[in-house]
Amino acid sequence: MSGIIKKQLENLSKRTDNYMKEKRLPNSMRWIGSISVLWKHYYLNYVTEFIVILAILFAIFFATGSAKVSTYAIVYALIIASVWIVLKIGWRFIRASAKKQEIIIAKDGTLRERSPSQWSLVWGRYRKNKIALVSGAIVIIVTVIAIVYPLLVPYSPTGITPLYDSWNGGGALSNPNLKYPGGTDILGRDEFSRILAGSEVSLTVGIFSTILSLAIGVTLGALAGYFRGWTEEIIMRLTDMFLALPFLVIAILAVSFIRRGRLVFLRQIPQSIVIILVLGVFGWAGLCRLVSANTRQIYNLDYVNAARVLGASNRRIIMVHILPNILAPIIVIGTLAIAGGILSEAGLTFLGLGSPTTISWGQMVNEAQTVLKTNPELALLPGFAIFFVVLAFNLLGDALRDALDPRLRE
Amino acid sequence: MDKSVAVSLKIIGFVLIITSAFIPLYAINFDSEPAETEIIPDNPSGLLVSSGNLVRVLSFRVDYKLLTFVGEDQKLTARYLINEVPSSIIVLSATLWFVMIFAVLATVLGQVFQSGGFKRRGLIADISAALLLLVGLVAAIIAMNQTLFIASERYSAVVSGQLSTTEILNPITFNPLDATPSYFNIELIGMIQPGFYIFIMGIMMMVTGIFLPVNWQQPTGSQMARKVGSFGPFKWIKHVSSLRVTTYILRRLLTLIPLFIAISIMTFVMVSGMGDPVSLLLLGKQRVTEQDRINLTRKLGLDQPIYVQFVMWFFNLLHGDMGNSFTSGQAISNIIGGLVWETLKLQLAAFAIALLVSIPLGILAAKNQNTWIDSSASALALLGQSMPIFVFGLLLIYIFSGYGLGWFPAAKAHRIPAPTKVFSGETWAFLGGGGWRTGIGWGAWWGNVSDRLLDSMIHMVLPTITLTFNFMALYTRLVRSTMLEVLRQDYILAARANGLSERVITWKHAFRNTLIPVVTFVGLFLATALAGAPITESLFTWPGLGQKYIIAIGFLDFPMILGTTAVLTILILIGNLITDILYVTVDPRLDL
Repeated sequence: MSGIIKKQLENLSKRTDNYMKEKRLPNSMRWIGSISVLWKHYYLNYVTEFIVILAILFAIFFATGSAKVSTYAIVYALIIASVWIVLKIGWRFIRASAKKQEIIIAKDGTLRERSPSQWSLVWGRYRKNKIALVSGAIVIIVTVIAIVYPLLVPYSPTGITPLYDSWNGGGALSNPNLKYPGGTDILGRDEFSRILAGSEVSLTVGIFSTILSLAIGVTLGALAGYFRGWTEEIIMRLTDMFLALPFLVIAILAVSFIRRGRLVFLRQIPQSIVIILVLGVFGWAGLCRLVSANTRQIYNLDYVNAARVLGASNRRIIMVHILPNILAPIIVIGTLAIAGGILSEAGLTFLGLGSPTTISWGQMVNEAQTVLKTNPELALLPGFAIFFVVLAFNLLGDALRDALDPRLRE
Repeated sequence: MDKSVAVSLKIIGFVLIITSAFIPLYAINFDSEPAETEIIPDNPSGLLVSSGNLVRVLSFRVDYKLLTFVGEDQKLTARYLINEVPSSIIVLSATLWFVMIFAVLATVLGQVFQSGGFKRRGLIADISAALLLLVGLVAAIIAMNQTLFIASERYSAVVSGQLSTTEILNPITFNPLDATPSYFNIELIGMIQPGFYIFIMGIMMMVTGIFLPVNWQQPTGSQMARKVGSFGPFKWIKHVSSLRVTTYILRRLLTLIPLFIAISIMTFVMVSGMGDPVSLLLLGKQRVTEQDRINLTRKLGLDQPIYVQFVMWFFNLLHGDMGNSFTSGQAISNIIGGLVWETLKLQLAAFAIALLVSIPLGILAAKNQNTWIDSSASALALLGQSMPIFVFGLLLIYIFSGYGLGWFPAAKAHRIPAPTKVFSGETWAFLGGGGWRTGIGWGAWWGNVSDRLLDSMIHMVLPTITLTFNFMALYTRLVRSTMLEVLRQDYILAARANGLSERVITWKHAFRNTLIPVVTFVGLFLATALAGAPITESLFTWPGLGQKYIIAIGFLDFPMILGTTAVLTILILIGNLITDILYVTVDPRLDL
């Protein structure tokens, strides 16, 4: 009886082997083939759409009659159309990147279903959430803008070229118009360029201050949770101290201490790095508590004990067995901390602690307060820029929480 | 509720009452010196000051900081710059005020929402307990106002060697411009009795302990004492030391002290390195010699090494003295006493409204999960979380203030000038502050009070909405997620299976359990609210701690910066302590 079953199983596996072999192209041909198939199927739609958009935009730009716009009409149209097409293709790829059920042949020749990896499951959950995709796209776009904004700004964000252009919509405190989409500020600088340029400081501060506080908080938290006793006691008292600080008040103090204090060498540090340092150094305490609590929870699990019995060093246990298992809450808190960092930076610069040479959204709001009656857009545009970026990061954090660990969902 | 909580509260209350009996009455005796009294005549161009004639004073009145002399045909107002009320009393009063509010909140909420409270003793006992507590609170506030006002009520004046009291029969003659003979010496004799506060605290704690709903079936704390089984006072000592909550609270209190010292050292070092206030103060003065610089440095105490400065500052802080402002020369504790109230008025109003709005909203969202109600509530919360405070505030100012509809003022806290008293003086007069005793008359008094109330409420609208929008986001999310978690529990399923109506399940079973994290959130509120105060206050030019703090940073006013930071830190530490105690109290499952 068992012999027959064995034979049948053998046949089955042979048959599937042959099936797989027939279906499979030679290795050299596989990728080329897939690309060609893809091309044949999809290219026509996209090329048509691209050309149509290009033509319409070119016509619109040419019809404006402005010398600058019509000279570079084809360039602008090309840029906008290609961005549109790239976004569309990317969107389609992302939506279609469903993990197909993968059937593999194991070493013993049987047919098995490959269990999907953790990150593919996370991606699968993330992909289904439209808000998550949109917020992720906004975050990516803002990051790209923050990097390449010198290529995008129509005027220098610090220069006062529009001030001498008052006959054509420029001058100081002009209202928004087609040439200066955000209007111009008190000194006659282009508001639109300044808003684009302000993304750099916001994102830099948000991301790097979070990285700094992650580095401090995760290290200390893991140490406190893993090594009990005195280590934990000292680190937790330190954490208590930092939690009891009135955050913004101390941050104001620290920024003014560094920027105009008696220690002259500290004044050389650039503004954004000062804020990164202050936010990072005073913002890690909550994270440290979270990490230490999670570490303490995992410390008692069986696989950690097993690793310890097998003679793994403390460092290996922390790095290999504990940290990857508490990564999910760390990522979520980190994303939300970026939003918090952007808000804190805006608050600090709104209070007038920014340097006049740095372009920052909060500082722009602060400067525009005096002309709120005549030019509300000068205050509200950078304000809403902060709002949208923070909103995107908050949404991203929520989506990541849902995707990384569905149990954490509210 | 654990029995040990109630018993330890009772014991602590008893100890406080006993202690209050041993604290002697204070008699305050303040002397003003001519140099520190600034004479501001009502009529600057009048004969009075310019001619330097003697003024016959028919009567005079001492208000909190104003000294009014009524002459034969003029009225002269002197601003009294010395601190009449010792700063330690102001700090103590403010601290006690917060402690009392939180105690009452915690007790009433714990009273009402702790399961089993209603069943065991009935509604009347609960209501009477709550009423008693409220009476205690009102009595405490009245007592506090009274003691603060006593200082300004009985006085005697020594003018040119003549002693005069309130009942002046003979008019006094004095010359404000003459330096030597006619200095006036006002002695304020008042009775300040901190023991009274402690007595009130003790009463409140005892009442709390007596009326707490206690699970008498499981005495955990007193078991050890019972086993020892001794009699007399030793039994009580053993009893108290074996109470886990008492020891926990004491342990937490002990950890707060080094924490506060460490934070103070850090702040002090940063503040000392912030710049040179001496050259800032001498800026713009003409003919400044090196000697002036040295003198000023010595006068401000900046010539000492930094650790000596710190020890002196900390020692004075422990005695309720935070030093004098570099710029105005006033005592910091006097400045801060008024500012704390302005800040907390705003924050507490916003906090209350946010709770009132967000609890129903969160419950509604949780009950209608995944419907449009839920998603719009979540969207609102997300909006409030992502919107920077100052952008929302600017939007409100642009729409509702003078630029647009012009409904509400956008700046300042008051338009009607107020007598500067602790806790905004006249607004509290109806609680026994003594507003009517100054001789204005009831009608004028009521007119003043109502005008000021209305005025300050109109000024509060925009900042309160701004803050509420910000706080609401946090609380709505918290209530919603907790409610969802509670609704998933087995006992809700059991209640539903027993055929209880949905209303009863929501409000009687789920809602009470939802409130546990919300109640414990009250303590944490202080930290989040006070730390964010500078932004709102400088946007609305609100005369609170935050705005003055920013100004003080600009002027390098070291004592002001240090004082503000210390007060904020103390408030946050108290908030954290209360949070911990509430956690332990409402959830006996926690191990300490």
